[in-house]
Amino acid sequence: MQQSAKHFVIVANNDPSHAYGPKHQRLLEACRKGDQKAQFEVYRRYHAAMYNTTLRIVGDPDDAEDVMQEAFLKAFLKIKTYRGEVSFGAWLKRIVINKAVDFLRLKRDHISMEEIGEVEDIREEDIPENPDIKLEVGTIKRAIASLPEGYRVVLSLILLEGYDHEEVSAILNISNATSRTQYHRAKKKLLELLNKKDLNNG
Amino acid sequence: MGNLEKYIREHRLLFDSDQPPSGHFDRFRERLDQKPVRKIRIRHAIQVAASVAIIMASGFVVIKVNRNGHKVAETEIPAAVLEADRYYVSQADARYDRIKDFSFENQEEKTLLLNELEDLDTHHQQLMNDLKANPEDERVINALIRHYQLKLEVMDQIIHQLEQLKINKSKNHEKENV
Repeated sequence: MQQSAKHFVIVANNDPSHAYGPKHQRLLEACRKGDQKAQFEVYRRYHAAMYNTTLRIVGDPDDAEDVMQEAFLKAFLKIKTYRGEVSFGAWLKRIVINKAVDFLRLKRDHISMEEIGEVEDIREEDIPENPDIKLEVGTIKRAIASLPEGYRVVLSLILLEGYDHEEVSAILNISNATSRTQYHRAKKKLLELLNKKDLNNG
Repeated sequence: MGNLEKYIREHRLLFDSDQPPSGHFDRFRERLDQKPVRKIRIRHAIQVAASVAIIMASGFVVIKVNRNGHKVAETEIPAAVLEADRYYVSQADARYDRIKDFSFENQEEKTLLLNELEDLDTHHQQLMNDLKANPEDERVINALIRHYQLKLEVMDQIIHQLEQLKINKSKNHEKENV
């Protein structure tokens, strides 16, 4: 079911086109040696994608900048452990996401995941989608931003970052079932919001 | 997969359109340096031309990819990319107008800067032509998005610097030769 989401991970990571060439390798090598110019160059190349990911999780622009920059510094500290199993963008993004999730935990003690008593049998068809619904990027962005934190985080990780429930449960330290339930509810809530007219005009 | 998932997947690129608050480059440099914030060194907007060159370089990457690919057949650009294109063009236009509204002491510098920014549109056109030849090539699409992002970044930097310049000027005329 999540295969489709995986499909666009490359785009979501926004690796620059030259991210796989020898020049990029040299840039990472320079970062490993602590070259500040190279580190700044990596920030310049990747900050846009990383900022948007952070913003979707933490919700506030100033917090997002702060968290993202800290994540870059952390990445430079542990860049020696990057072995190239995944693209550099994907590796960096995971650090960014972990930092953002940590930030929410510290801020509120815990991410407000709804505790669930039972594992519901969730199928795609369970959520009725209005075929006339007018989908538009700005409207969807605003609607996602207005979701409760727990919903927003799970939905962003799955729909926009392309992670599956297994990965989300590891990132958020929740069960696979909770991830599924949260996602299901978040999507339902999102569709409700998108059906409301006032949001479409906002 | 529902319509919503499908729509988001097809328009994924547009969801990363937010930019960090103005001045974030300086703040990150400061964190790397662990030194106090540097003073704005750029006295003349014309020095920004150096950053503009970076965008031009991003164009060359694509041209090279295209030539290596030897694909010449013209094809349709995906609708999602066209939509992304329209969005970024409108963002860039708004910034261009803001830059145009700043008053420059030296009119020649202003003309030169605006000309350089307009030159970028030629590169943008070149990228779109490359994309027509390779509509499915993720490298070309990524380079195009990177081009947009860099363009907006550079324009934001220019605006930031022009604003700083304005503040500094009104604060203290003697400090102009920082």
